[in-house]
This record gives sequence, C-alpha cells and structure tokens, in this order.
Amino acid sequence: MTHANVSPKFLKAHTPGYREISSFTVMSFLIIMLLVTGFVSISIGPVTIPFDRMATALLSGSVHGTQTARDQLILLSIRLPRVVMSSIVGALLAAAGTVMQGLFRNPLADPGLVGVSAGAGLAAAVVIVGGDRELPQSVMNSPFLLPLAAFFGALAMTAMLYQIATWKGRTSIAIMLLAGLALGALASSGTGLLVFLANDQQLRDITFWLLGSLAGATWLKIAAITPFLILFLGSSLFLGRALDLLSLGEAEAFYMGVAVERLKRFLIVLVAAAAGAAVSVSGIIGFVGIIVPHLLRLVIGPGHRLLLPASACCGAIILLAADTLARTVAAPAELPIGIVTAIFGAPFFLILLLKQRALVSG
Amino acid sequence: MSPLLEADSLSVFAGRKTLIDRVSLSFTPGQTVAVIGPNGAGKSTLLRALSGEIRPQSGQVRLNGKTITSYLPHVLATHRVVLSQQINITFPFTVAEVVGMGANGEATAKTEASIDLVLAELDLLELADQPINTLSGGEQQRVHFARVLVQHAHGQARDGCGIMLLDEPTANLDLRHQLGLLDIAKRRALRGALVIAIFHDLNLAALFATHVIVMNRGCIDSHGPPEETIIDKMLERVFEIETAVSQLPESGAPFVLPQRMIVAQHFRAESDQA
Repeated sequence: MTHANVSPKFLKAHTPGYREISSFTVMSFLIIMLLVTGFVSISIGPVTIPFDRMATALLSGSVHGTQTARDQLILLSIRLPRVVMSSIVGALLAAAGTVMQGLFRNPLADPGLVGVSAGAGLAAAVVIVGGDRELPQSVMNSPFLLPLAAFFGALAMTAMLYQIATWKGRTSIAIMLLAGLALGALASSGTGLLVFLANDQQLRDITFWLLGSLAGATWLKIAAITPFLILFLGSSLFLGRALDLLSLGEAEAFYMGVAVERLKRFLIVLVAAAAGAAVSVSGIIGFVGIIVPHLLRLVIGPGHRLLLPASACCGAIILLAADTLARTVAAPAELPIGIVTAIFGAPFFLILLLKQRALVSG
Repeated sequence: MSPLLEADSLSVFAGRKTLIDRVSLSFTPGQTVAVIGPNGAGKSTLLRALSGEIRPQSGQVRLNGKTITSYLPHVLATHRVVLSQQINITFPFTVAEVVGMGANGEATAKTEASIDLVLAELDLLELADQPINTLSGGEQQRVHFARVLVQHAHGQARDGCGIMLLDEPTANLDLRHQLGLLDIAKRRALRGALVIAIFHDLNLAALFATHVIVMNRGCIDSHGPPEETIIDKMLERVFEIETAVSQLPESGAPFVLPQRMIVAQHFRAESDQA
C-alpha cells in the first residue's frame, strides 16, 4: 500500500481486463443461435419442411392447391406463431428471473419457483371462472384481459414476497424461498378450488395453465405479450448499473446514488409484467428463469448491462429448443413443456443449491 | 469557515430505544475525525444519519447548509462516500468490476486510469481479475475502500472536497494495511476532504484524528483533539477500564495500554468473599 511507483506499462498489463469476451460478440453469437434454432424448429414437425421449400413458401405470394400453398399454411399459421411465441415467452421468463435475482440479490430466485407464476395463474383462473359470470362478453373476448389479470396476480405475489423476505433492508434468502413456497401453495390451492367450481370448458382452460403449453400460439397472443418484451428490453438499457449497485446491498446502492425505493418498486412491476405476460399465454413453465441467468453469469460475468439482454436472448433459445423437443420426441403426441423444462431444470437447481449451500443456510 | 457538515440536535429512535440523543456537531473541510465509544454507543447510527441514509426523528443534518434529506441520492453520491462495516455480494463480480462501480458508470480511459491507480494504492492489482467472493475478509474490505475512493475521486472532480464516512475501516485489516488505509484517508483530508471514521482501536484513532468524538449511550461524552479526549478519566468513565495513557515520544499522541476492566463495586465485594 506504499505509494508505489507504477509504470504505465505495468498498469496496462493488469488493466482490469474486465471480461475476455466483448458484449458485441456475446449478443451477435446469441442472436445467430436464436435464428438457427428458430429455422430448425420451423423446419421440423409432422411434416418436415426443408430450408429450400421454406424459402419458396415464405418468399412467394399466395398460391393455391400446391405443395407450396400447404407449406405456407403450416408455416404461417402453425409453426411460425409457435416459434415466435416460444421465443418471446422464453425471453420473458429468463428476463423475469434475471431481474428477480437482481432484486433479491441471490441467484436462487425464479418466478416459477417462488410462487409468482402461481399467483399469475390464480388470477387468470379467477378471471376464467368468475369472469364468465360477472364480466360482459365483450370484455371476456379481449386478448388483453388474461395477460392483464396474470400481471396483477404476479404483481401482488412479488410485492408480498418482497415485503415478507426483506427485513431492515436485508433480504433473507431462506425466508424468500420458504415464503415463496407458502404463497405458491396458497395460490395453487386457490386455483384448485376454482377447478372444483369450474364447468367443463373453464376446466379445460384452467388445466392449460397448470400444465403449461405453447401449443395454443396465435398471432393475437403474440401481439398481446410483445409490449411486455419491449418494456423489458427498453428498461434493461438503463437498469444495468442500478442492478449492479443493488447487488452490494440497499444501503450501499443508496450511498452510490441509487434511489433505492423507486428502483425496487420498478423492478417488482417489471418482474410481474414479464412473468405475468409469459404465464398468460403459456401457463406455468418453470426453471427457465433460473437456468439461463446462472449459465450466462458463468460465461459473461454478473454485470447486468450485458446480462439482461443476453438472458432474454438465451431464454428464447432454450425455451424454443425445449418446445421443439416437447413436440417432436413423442410425436404425434406432445409432452407438456413444463415437464420438459422441469426434467432439465430441477436437477440443475439442486446442483446450484448444493453449490450455494453456505449462502442459503447463512 | 462555514461548516461543511453539521448535526443539529439530532435524535434517532428504534422503537422505544434511543439510539442517538440530541447530538449536535459541526465539521469543516480537511478535518480527520475519529468517533470512538463502547459497543452500542450509537457510533454507526450517527454515521448513517450523517450520510443521509436514515432520517432522524428530530433535529437535522445539514450539508453545505441544506438539509441532507432534501438531496437526491445521485447528487448526494457526489458529495459524500460511505464505507460500511460489512458487505455481502452474492454475485461473482471481479475486484476490478466492484471498484469500477464507484465510477458512476463512466467507462472512459481516464476512469480506467483512476481505477488502476486506486488498485495500485491498495495493493490490489494482482487481485484485479479475481471474483470478490473468493477473497478474505480483509481483502474484501480493501476492495470496498478502493470502490469508495474511486467514487470520492469522481465526486471530487464534480463537487470539490467532499466527505468520507468510514465505519470501522480498519476492522479486518492486518497492521500494515491498517496504517496504509489511514495514510490514504489522511492524504485525502490534506487535499480538503472531511474524513469521519469509527474506530475501536483507540491508538489508531489517536494516530489518525485531528479531532476525536467520544460517544456513550447515544450522547457525546466529550470531543476535542486526541490528547485532550483520550485520557484516563474518559476511559474509566466511558469504557469502564483502568489504563495508563502515555504519550508517543515523537508526536505526543496519546497511547493507550488497557490494564484491567473496572468491576462494579458490589460484584467485587461478592468475589472477595468467595
């Protein structure tokens, strides 16, 4: 600690080289991977459409009665919406996970795991069952009704969880996980009660939430959740530094210039928006939000400026791959997507838990 | 000189417990201030109130004559920096990344150079690319002090001298780094910064400070230059120990060698009987 006479050359050699890979490389790689996965996913299914036929179908205008016309139908009204929706849902889930982990300052938070998705599902079930009786048909038909309901369900859940887990400016990991378990169980039992009260059609709708599925993809649903993705990507531009500072603790973040209370409120809304939107179109799909940010941190480091957009992108890739697997591995039947992500995600979570054991018990 | 920072009849309560009781103080640029006192005397609470983090129930803290709670967080961050006692980071940020957080998000060549200088000043260059959570407690403490220095340098560029509030900055450090840290803080004070630090080691406090504040049970017991405050009577009254305070030959700074604790009268009577 003496006032060392350090030559500039020596400094250069140790210049906090920061991370080896540049942000540009990371994002380009992820976007290319997303496009490749997307094209592969569009191509395979009950009818395999190779890339040359895909190009013909997508680039030519409307034709009738040919193979190209059939390809167009499959691509534009079945596969493409599903691929686009899987990507957006995956991006939203991973985004919600990343923001939530930043908010709670620990890598074990995930909207599916701590009941936020369950809260969104409960709110959606309430609307499905109660709305039929109480709301006019025109409102019930709006594509934005369920995303909004799911958003408010997720919002209530996240806010409650944060209130319970944070005490005197410190957020306890153990309390967060346990409170999430309890709140999630409460929400699930509420949903179970609604299942009991529901008629056949409502029951089908609710079951769809519980299992999670991307099979019902339509352009309308995509339109309903895209604003949430834009909201997230837009805010991730200026949230990076604040989230980095928040990882030092609330007091430190304040000392370094962050308006902490305002930031926390905004993050809670953001998590709820992303998780709610994802749940509203695809039901409850777990573990994407926990796997993606963790994997990325190992490669690109924990800095949120890059982590936020990268996890959106990587989440899209992973859910797209999982969904492609889910609909092809047992064709013509489809595995529920929630089961696929759980098969890979649950062991991953256990490994993560073992590595973080000291942290959780502390 | 008008005070840079002042506390005006400051009181802080937690429930029914009084943490700070009507404390009034004023500080000018260039001062090095040591806050000492037994556990639970309200030292950390005082520091947090001076930082603007906690809102006092009565009285106020004024920075440049303006109530500190009226400053926006990002403005406050350019005026004063704070080093807390304990910071846990769960994400594996590297040392360089943590220190860089002090730079207000600016990633210019000038900032990187200032980060490098601070890393060199604190013997952290070799650790620059290590994740912070793999370091020892003392190393982490130095990293956070480096972060605070970078933030201070940035604020100074914008708002002049500035304030450093350090909560037990030497707690986990070895002797060499303790002295080194005090040296760095003193140099900042020579350039006009106000440095207020909490100490448990009275000898370090005496070495460091131009001004000592002795706290006891939420009140100011006494304050003034070290040789007038760190004296036998104060140590008996506040710390309840018997000591022999002597003086360092060169500087005349007080030097404390604790002898034994003072046992309350009735306890002594009992133990004598047994």
